[in-house]
Amino acid sequence: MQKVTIIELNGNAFHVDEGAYGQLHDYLERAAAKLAADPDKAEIMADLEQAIAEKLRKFLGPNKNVVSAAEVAQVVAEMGPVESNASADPTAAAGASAGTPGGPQPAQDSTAASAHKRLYQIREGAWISGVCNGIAAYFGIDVTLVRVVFVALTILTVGAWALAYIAMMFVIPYAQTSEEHAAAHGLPFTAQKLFEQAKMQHEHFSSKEWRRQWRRQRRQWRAWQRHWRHGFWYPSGSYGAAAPPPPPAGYAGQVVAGVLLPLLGIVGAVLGVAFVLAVLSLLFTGGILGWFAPPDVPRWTAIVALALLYGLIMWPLHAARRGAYYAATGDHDRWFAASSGTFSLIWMILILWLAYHYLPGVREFLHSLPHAVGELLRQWHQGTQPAPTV
Amino acid sequence: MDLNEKFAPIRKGLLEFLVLRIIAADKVYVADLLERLSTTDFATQEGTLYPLLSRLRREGLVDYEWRESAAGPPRKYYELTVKGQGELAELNEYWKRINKTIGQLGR
Repeated sequence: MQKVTIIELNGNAFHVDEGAYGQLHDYLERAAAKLAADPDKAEIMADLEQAIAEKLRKFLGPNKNVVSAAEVAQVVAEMGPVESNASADPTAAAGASAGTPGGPQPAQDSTAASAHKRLYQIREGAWISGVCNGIAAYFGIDVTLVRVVFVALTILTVGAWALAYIAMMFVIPYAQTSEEHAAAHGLPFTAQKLFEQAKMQHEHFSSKEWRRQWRRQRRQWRAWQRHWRHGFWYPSGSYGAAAPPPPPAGYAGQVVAGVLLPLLGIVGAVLGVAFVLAVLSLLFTGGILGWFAPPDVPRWTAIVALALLYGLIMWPLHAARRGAYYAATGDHDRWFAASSGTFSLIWMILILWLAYHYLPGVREFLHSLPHAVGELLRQWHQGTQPAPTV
Repeated sequence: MDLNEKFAPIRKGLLEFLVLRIIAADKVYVADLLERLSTTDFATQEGTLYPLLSRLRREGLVDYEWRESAAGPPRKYYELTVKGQGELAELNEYWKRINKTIGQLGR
């Protein structure tokens, strides 16, 4: 365990451990002493602090928000000793600038690279993997438009575009740090914003209060989900038992989940398409891939059986996907819940519709339903008037 | 023996000349300058460059403008002033003369 201090570098807040703090303090003190006679001392100090801030930021990520002494030592070495240039005297501190040729090079490269707008996948609000989301952010257009174009392209190319999507899914990196998110949108990532972000991150990751709140909210959200599912969509509760979210995963778990999530998405989509094709084939030809239902089994029974089989296969897949999503992002995406809910609703309507069309009993039952409900209400109403009959 | 050390003062003196040459070619910010120099014998660091640029600006040879960057805080982009262009021309002349002298003396 290490004690952590918050420091400010030209408007950027950082968490540093004690060793790191000492080194930075010493470096900046030495620099200030060297520049004592320089009329532009304040400006140069601000420039140096800004350069240090940018170098430090590269060591930080979503799972690391404290700068260590070793990292500061590296940054200080990259910065090099500060020399006064108040006079144009070339003999002052002559040897110092020889420095380490080639030493600062890699750091400069990455600074230059991060200066540009970059294409990332954005998980937040993604449907499959975030490719469309990232493209929309990159070009600054609405994500729905991108999705429509993608679907149209997939249909026009008879599915070939789906392969392109899968390729993009693996090639385009995910936006993870706030800097990358800004780069994905091409936003000016100003010092002011960074400061706010640093403050927010600090509150998010280090305050116990926030953690408690987060846990409470997660509990509420989960309870709400359970209630929603049990009480509304699935009175039988067969789905309600699916996937209580696993505890937040470690970094390795996140990586695995990140790979697994798109794969599961593809498997789910393929299964969905196969199911629709099988239903259509059953409807129009009475069989699937050369297999025909026995003649005494009505068509609708075969379709309902198929739907049940599909549900049975999809259930663990769905649970795994939810688990992977949770492990990868650490939260429950409303989009995800809403889209899977919509799909379930569509299946239910489809099954009901088929039953209505192919099963006289169901049709009769549905036709008599308004009357039956009316009867029931009247009976119940009458029943409540006198003393209850047990 | 150590050439690196022997020529350190010369490199230091020439750094200003090289920085002016790079800035004359196009508008750059400090990371650009460092990157350009990093592959050469004149590799330098922020600790040296910021004070140097600050002095060049004070002497009226360069000036900078703030530019918003795509990912990060705004940056100072440096460019040569008219005075800076005159200075650079003189330095170029002087450098040629030195080289000629070196070529003519001995073998």
